[in-house]
Amino acid sequence: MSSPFSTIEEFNNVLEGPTEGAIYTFAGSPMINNLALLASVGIFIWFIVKTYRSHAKPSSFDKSMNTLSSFIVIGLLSLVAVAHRQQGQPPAEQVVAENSAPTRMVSHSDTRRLPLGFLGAMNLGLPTFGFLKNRHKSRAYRRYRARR
Amino acid sequence: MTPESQEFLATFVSESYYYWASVFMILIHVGFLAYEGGASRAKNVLATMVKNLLTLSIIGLTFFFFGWWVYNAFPLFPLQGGIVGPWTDPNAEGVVGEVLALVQASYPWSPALGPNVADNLTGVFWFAFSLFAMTTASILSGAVIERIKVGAYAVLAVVLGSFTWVVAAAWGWNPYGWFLTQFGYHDFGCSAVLHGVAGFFALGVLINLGPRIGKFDGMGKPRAILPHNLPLTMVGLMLIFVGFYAFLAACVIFLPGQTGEITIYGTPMTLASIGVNTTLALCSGIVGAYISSKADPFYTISGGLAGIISVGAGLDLYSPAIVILIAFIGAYTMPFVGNAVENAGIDDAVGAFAVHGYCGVIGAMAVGVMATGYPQGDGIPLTGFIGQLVGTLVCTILLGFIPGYGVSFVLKQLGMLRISPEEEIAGLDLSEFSMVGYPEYPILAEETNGRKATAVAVPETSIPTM
Repeated sequence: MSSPFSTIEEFNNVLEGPTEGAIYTFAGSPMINNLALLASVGIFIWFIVKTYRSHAKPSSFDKSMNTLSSFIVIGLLSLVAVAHRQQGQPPAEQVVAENSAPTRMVSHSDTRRLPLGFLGAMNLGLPTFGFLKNRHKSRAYRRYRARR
Repeated sequence: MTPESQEFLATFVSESYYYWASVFMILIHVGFLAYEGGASRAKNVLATMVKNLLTLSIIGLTFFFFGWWVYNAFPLFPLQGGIVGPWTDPNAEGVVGEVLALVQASYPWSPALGPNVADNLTGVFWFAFSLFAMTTASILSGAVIERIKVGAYAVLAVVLGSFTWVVAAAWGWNPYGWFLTQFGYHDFGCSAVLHGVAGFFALGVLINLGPRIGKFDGMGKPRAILPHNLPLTMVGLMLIFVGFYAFLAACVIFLPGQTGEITIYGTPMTLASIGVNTTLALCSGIVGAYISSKADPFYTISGGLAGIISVGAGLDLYSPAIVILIAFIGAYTMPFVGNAVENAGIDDAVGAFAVHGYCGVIGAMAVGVMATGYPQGDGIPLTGFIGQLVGTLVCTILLGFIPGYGVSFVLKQLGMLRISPEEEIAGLDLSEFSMVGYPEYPILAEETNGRKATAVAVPETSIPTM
């Protein structure tokens, strides 16, 4: 029995009993609670050890050149497509007129923008764009520093 | 201070205590709303959250119409007497007379529930109990997301939240209940009475409801349908934790004239021990689920709740070290149960059975192992394994699984349980509200004539799904 009481009178008058108010399990035999405490500490240490172990499995990646080659080919094709589109573009006035129309809706699926998506896919544009951005940023920063 | 004002102060302390505990319990429902909304896919987020809102209305009203009466009328039935109601002899004496006085205060037309300066406490107890009932129904709510009809959910929520769990509470969480008087059952924090009933009820419903489309492949192997917003789910569970402190505090009985706090069974206890033990159970539960689930975020955060439920029944009795061990065991084993349910072909979207059903059983039965021999009144058996087993089986099977399976089976036969596959694929937000939860997501679709595009009310392919 884990209860320190055998009658309801003892339970209700616990302040006058041997446990002096303690009503919890095994209050009459502290050894069990001490063992439980040791086990709890052991669990906690186990938990700390577990937190150091990586549970997530890193996703496997293709080490062959197939995927990279495909991206390069697709990217080059998309560049060719961009050049081809630029040759067949309408005059500049027409573009301005179209852009200034207030109700014009823009679609992500607009076919003229399709090749740009492939640029992103092969990561071709990003390094150049990032470099330009950084150069622009550093120029602005230098100007800011010069003013100060 | 006059004796009259001192007397009123004692009443006001009780009234305020239950009032504010109940207000904080509403955080459980804020948490459930965030938790289930985050656990759903983006195409179902509004419908999932509205279902949580409706739970408050459905249960709040039906608990007023008949739920509160059920709690007070059923404790003696069937072993010690009949169901007490307007047909009971008004001059009855003894236990029936005592129960009748409570029953008369629980009718929806009772003067005790309206503004009445002669009774400050009946209304505030109704308030607390109605939030217990809403919590019970919310457990079902999470399990059935993304494919149940709102009407079917409403019917099931009424059966669970305003009837079957209330009967369980009348029998097992009531000073007159026959679980206590005949078997010495002890369930301070409603492990089996609330969580066990709700978890097993949900299991019965899920068997008839079936899995979400795409949950299992052709070979019956489960696929992960990931939460669309796991951070929201985690915040939701943190709010549930806060609400649970209030829930457990509201399980403490302190009435004017008492010289100490007691449980619903009349045994002495302290509110401070609830603070210590709930906190330790929360911490230990998270650790247990973290280890066993190999740091899965969903199971880890659910582990806190699993830990609290695993010790809920004996929270007033356990020593802190025992709480840590029981909560750890309950939460450590919970993910295995969740995975087993999934491998059995049952799609429990939020692990409601594992967390509430399984841990509810662990919680109630742990008293029969770790808190045996406690007296709870003259002529009442001591706490023990058999008493806990009887109460747990009645709660989970008779009042949980069977009603859940039975009512959902009838709804299924009538074609009133599940939405159509087309609606499910399109998403409930579109089929129920004709709108989406995240309109800023890319929702432009091409018109068939090619280059010009317009914003449209969206077909299913444009809704982001996970």
